[in-house]
Amino acid sequence: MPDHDLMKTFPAVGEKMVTLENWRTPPWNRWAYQHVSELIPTAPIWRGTGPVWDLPRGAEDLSRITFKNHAGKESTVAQFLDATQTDGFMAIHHGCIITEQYRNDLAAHRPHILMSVSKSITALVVGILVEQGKLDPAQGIAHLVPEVQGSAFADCTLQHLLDMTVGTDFTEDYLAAAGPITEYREVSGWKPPSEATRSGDLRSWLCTLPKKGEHGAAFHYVSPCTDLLGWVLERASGVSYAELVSRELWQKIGAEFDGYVTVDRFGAPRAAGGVCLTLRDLARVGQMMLENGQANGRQVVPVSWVDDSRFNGDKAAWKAGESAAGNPAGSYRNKWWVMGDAHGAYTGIGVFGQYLWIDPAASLVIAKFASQPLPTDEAVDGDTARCFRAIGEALAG
Amino acid sequence: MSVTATNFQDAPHSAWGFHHVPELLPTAAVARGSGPVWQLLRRDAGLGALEIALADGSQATLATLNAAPDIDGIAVLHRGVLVHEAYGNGMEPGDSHILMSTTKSFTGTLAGILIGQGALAEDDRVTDLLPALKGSAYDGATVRHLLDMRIGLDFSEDYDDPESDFAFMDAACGWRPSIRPGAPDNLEDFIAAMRGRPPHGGSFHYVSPNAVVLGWVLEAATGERFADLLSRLIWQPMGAELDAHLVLDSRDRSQTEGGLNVALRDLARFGELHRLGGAVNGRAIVPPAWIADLCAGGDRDAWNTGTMAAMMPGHSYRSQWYIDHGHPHRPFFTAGAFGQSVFVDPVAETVVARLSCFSGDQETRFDEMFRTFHAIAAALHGE
Repeated sequence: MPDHDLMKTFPAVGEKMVTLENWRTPPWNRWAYQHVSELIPTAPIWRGTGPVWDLPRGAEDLSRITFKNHAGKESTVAQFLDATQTDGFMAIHHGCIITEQYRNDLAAHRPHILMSVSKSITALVVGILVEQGKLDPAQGIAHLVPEVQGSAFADCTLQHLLDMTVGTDFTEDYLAAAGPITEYREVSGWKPPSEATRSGDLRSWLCTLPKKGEHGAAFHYVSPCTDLLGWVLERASGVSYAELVSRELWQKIGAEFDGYVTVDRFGAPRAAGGVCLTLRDLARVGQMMLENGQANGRQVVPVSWVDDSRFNGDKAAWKAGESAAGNPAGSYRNKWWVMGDAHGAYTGIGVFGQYLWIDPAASLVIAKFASQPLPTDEAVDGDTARCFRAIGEALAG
Repeated sequence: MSVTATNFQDAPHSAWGFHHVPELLPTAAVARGSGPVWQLLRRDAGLGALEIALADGSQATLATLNAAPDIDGIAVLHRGVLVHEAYGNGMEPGDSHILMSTTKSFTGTLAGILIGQGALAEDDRVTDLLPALKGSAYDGATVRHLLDMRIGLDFSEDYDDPESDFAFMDAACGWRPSIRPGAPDNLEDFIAAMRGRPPHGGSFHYVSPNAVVLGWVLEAATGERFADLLSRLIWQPMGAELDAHLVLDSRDRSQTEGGLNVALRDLARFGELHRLGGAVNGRAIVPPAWIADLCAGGDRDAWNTGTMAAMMPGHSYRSQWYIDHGHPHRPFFTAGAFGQSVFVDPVAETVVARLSCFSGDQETRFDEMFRTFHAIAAALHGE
């Protein structure tokens, strides 16, 4: 049963109608995050016709595992899931699905928006193209996308984009009601355009971001860097982002369902946040990472790329950056947040509660979809890491 | 050159746009679920070399005709075996393609399933289910009137007139730029403003909004969105190969007369489901009586006095399908703008699914398409 009464009548009336204006925010996001294609044009990520990567099932009761939450109180996993607007929760341990839960009307076959976990997916395709010799992380991107001349990206490298160390004047203020971040949403097709953005589009807008400071010096989380990565992928491969993700990733890992990605009015993909996948398929991506890039018996992402993502984050850039206070031991590499803990855990994170958490020491993958009321929330985000870590510790015995 | 929501129907944009509609407009997924695919056995029947007689007296092979720049795909089933399949314009088996008015036949068959289940009745009043349409053209109309396009109203379905009623509906859907300020920018406002000319139940009058209203009637009767109904009642039980995608308007309303997008093989499966009398692999999906009723055809007088009798003599229209009474096999078929169709010849045990982006003279292109269908069925029937 849904945890809301949105979009239940034909048409939905007044506040019960989810629109392009309100969809990202509560309470409308409770319906919207699993119905994104109904709000924004999307390009399909086809699974192809190959066999599904079947994951065996086991059973382990995680619900009673406890952790100490941000307030210092004991919480069980079950309480945490109840308290965090969970839409889907799945864990794979030693290759077996040990729990798979759908809430708020989400179903196994229905894609849910990944928000910034999209970035981790995008970067995997970069890794594949690097292995194929079509991209070089150390090289600039302006030869592939000459349109960036004059912007912050004119002299940055692919690795700067991958690691969020581009020196640019853009503030990722999710709650701002005006300014560059709302323009960004409007040109992406995520919000009705204003007079100023009506004739705009995502790719042109990316080329307007000004440079500030040096590239490579500090971690500075700027989502548009990943949209640019999507554009770089299209130029390097000659096919659209959705087609490329389908060919290089989705058709190879034995995905069970098609995914999709939102596109602007000229077909530009929102590679930073617009990917929508089913819970099980997202967990398969995590399992592939755990198995060093192998999925369904074949090497899909190079081992070297997985290792580079896990171990080669620039600690100095992290310490000089904006997120070090929250986790001094952490780092960020190839669009993964590396936790710097004893288990070697790393994760993709999306606003409003999207996670793909990989705990190599516990041989554990956790995928979580949610439609939380706030884009980021220090207490909830911290509890999520505490909860996942506790599960890893319990399973590692 | 950019293809956008408001130019995708025009050549040359349609050659890409028709199989990329979800990239242009909001769509609801018609989920195939996770059940097994209805596997189609394959055997090449050598139809590519089939000679087809054209209207100008010349002949061309099917392979030659398939290579025309405005044909996106053709699939032929004979006794359920995929005996011919070809794609054009970069369309692939994994792509979905807009069906235009072939969508209506999906809406009609879905109505048949729900009527069979007792969720609604043929003589239910439209405005009892959709009170927002009280005072519109649909006052006094029944579900059966919608199904057979026998609503008494004024409406010009002229695809060539940029200011026809249909053109205003296209703009209300967001498929064309607004024609004039203040014109409806969503389907419900457009439909609620349509005015009737009773009585209903008279001559056949092809009016696309009737099938939108029919789709909404199904939603109102069940409390389920059209895409979910189609998924639950046809797409999942049939074993569709790919999700389908239904276009929504600016108020998230289902575009159930022209907005369905499906893969070519799934369109063929939908036709085969009808050829088989509504059951697949021993599983009843559409009531056999419903299929038998539509195969028997619609009211001949209604057709003969209706809007399409001169263009298609000897036909009739029933439950959102066309029936060809002039042919001894009495084939039945769907027809969508720019060449979307699934054609069923019950005697030849043949189904042909065709997806296109016809440019140029539509009548000529449709004529060639139907000649192709008849020639394929005749060849497979051993004539």
